[in-house]
Amino acid sequence: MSGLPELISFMLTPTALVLMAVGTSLGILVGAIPGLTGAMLIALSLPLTFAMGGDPALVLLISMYVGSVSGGLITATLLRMPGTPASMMTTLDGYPLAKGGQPGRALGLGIGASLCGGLVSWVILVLLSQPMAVWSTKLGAFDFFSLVMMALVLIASVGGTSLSRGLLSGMLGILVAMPGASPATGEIRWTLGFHTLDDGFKLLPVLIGLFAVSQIVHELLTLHQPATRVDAAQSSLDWRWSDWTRYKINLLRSSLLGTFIGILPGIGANIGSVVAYSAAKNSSKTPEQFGKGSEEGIIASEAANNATVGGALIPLIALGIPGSVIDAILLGALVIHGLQPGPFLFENNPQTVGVIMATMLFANLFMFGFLWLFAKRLAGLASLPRYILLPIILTFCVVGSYALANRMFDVWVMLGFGLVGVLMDRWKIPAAPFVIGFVLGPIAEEHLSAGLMESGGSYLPLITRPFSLVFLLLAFCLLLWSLRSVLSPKEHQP
Amino acid sequence: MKAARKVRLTTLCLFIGLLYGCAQTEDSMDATYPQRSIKVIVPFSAGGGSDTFARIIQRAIEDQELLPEPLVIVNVPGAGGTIGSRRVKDARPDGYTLLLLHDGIMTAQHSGQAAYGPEAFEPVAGTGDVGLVIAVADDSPYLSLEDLMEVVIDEPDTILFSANLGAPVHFAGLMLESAATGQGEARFRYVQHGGGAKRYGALIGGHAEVSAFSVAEYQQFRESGLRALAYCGIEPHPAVDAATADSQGFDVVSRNMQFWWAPKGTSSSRIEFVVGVLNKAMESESVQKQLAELQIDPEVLSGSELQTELADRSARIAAVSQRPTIPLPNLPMMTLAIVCLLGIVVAGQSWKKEAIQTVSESIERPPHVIRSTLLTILATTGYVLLLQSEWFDFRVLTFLFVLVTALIISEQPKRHLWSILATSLVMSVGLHAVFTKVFVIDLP
Repeated sequence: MSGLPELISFMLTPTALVLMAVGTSLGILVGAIPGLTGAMLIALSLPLTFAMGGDPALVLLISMYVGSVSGGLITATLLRMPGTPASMMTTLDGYPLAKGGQPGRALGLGIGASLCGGLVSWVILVLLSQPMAVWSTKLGAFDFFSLVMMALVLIASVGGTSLSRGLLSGMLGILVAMPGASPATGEIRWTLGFHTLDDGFKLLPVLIGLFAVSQIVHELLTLHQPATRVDAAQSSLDWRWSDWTRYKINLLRSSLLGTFIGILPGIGANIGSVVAYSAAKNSSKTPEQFGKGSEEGIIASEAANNATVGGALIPLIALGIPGSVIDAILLGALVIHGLQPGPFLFENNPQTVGVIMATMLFANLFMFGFLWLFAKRLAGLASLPRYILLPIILTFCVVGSYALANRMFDVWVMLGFGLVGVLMDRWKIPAAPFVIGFVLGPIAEEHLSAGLMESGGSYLPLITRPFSLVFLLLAFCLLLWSLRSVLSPKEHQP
Repeated sequence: MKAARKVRLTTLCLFIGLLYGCAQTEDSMDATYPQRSIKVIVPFSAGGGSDTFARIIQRAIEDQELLPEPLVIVNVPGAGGTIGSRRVKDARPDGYTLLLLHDGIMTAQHSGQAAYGPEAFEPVAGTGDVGLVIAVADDSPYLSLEDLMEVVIDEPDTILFSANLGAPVHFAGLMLESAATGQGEARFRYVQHGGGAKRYGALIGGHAEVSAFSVAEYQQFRESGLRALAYCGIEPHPAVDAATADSQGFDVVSRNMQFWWAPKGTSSSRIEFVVGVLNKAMESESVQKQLAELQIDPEVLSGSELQTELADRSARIAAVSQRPTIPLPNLPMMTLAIVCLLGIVVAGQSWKKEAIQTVSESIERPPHVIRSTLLTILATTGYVLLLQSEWFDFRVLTFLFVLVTALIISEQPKRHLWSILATSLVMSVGLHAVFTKVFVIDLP
């Protein structure tokens, strides 16, 4: 980059440093509070940046992005509530490990892995943004559909104890995503005449209901028992230098998977951490530890969800195509400030590309620093007595659901899915595949329909397009593999 | 006895809170418009084209103090803008709720996505007009609109048109077809890709041949590989390197104007007041400059001019008919079938397990735990119901809600009273301040 000295001097101005500090810490805070998401924070901060120049605005917004993906790990680890959808997989192992007496270790692993994921994806962002983004546009609708099918099959291996319950949960998620406007034609279906349902159920209220509300009910029902919250105050954060070498393969694999998945439009941090988690589980020497406090599980999830941030920025700056909701908002921010994302951004505004990349690096360092210093104090949220904590979280659930689209309907949806969550908990149906199915169902339908419109109704391109064929074959192998690993332990039982 | 005191305490707090709430809402009803902030519903998400436009206007109104109370932008996205438009349609016609929605309001009606169109509203004004651009990828063999349409006529249903079904972009394609039908049967094959960035990606990736873009979108993507074939306006556009469709022999005018709507029955004096404010805002230097950057004409239409313009646009849109898409698989029913199947499998499995080991599940819970759980659920439902009714201020209800639930959950409500009161106060006032001042969200 030609103006490297200028870039460095810009990044070290007090304005840029303050913006990064404010952005990262606000992002972490919002990420840590269940019901508030980074997308919401960034969308709502966008008007505040109108008065700034383009570069400072990007510094603030990207710092928020990095912070919000990271903050979720605190509440996921200490409260078993994912602060953001992206940290859902962290709850599976972070909470058991913290509950088992090692909250400092659980947080330390998450924070360290987050930094690693952010840095690895930053390197790839710098090296590969142009060529990789050009490649991803070659994927057609059928290729995307096959890719999503592959991800859906992955649900089965994440489900936990029972393959059939995992699949049932995933399909239920898809089913719940069906009411409302069809993603293909906009035709309204299954709304029973309620116009508020024309847009279907939104992810945020469903997620808050399933995870936060059902957890609150769980807490209420166990009021007489000792607290299930984890107090981190006594234990110091534990991330050792030896961890870098000990988990280097897992860290690298999860970060690369997260980055790669982040590049693909529409599949964000949630899926990145799911894929990395199942990959880590499948290649682990101790897969039975996953879901019970596996250190590898925390690392995989947190490295991958932070890595998706860098990955998703690649198609955004290289082609002006957003990979996720937050990137769509960032795209809007670029345009508002008179910057045109695309291959020519590298030529016309090298300074802006530099600022985006430098912010990504600095914000990750800030994030690490903030979390290292304040994670336990943020976790103070968790050591509040329940009669204070539960009403506060309930209020946030209500206000957060409302603020999503400014309507009370979403609040009722949130409460309804709280009930669904309680019932699923009772019938031992895992909640994670439900959410993944809910997110992926419409994406799959959208791409399948677009593909069918292209081909005039023929399904043949599913197996004649090379990428599509590869993804479908991979999905098939994954299914066979998880069927085998489900069936084989039964043979050992008498 | 302890429980009885708790109930008494809770009731007392509720009573005080309600009194405070009633005092709050008793405003005087007369005096001039506007007395409180005017909400503008933008039926798309924050950061999009319509939202950007609305916020440029909002800023100008704030900077020049054109309104005594702030103009509040409320994003109500979903279902192609119909979620937001329906809210305004059903709102009280008091001039405090307005809608900002472009020509999509007409295309949604004619494509059957919404059962109502402009006739369900009082049109206030039309601001910022901009035409659509018909464009192909840089490496496309089609150099002019004529080249392209020749193929569309000779080999109908082969050229892929990347569309956002039911939106103005889709109708630009349909209008091109109907303008060319004099020369033969012209037919595109429409593929649903959605927003501008996605349609651009489809062109670049070779998944479609042609699409329509707004001028802002065209400018954004031009450098990275988009070529304009035609501009669908009346006059050529300085930023678009192509002649108008009309001058190339295809009578297609497809433009997007940001229309402001009020609920049916809003008094004309209030509408005139809003038009005045919009006029002043649009004339301001900052708006003119920002619109010039976005390549939007800073035109303002109101009154009879607006009516004629709307009628003209409606007629053009109504003149083309939309073909049904190819039959798509009934995915909802397929999913339902799979869910039922898996449900039976899972039920069978757990039934078998239960047969082997007799259930010893339900753990004994002390009755007070069950009672406080149920009371909390009840309190939450009540809180949401009262919020929805909009009878009381958000701060009052939140204060009461936090207070009541904390008292229900706490085992020693009297000892913890002060910390509970402090939390309730911080939550209600703090949340209100953060959301309305920092996030500019309009709380119930």
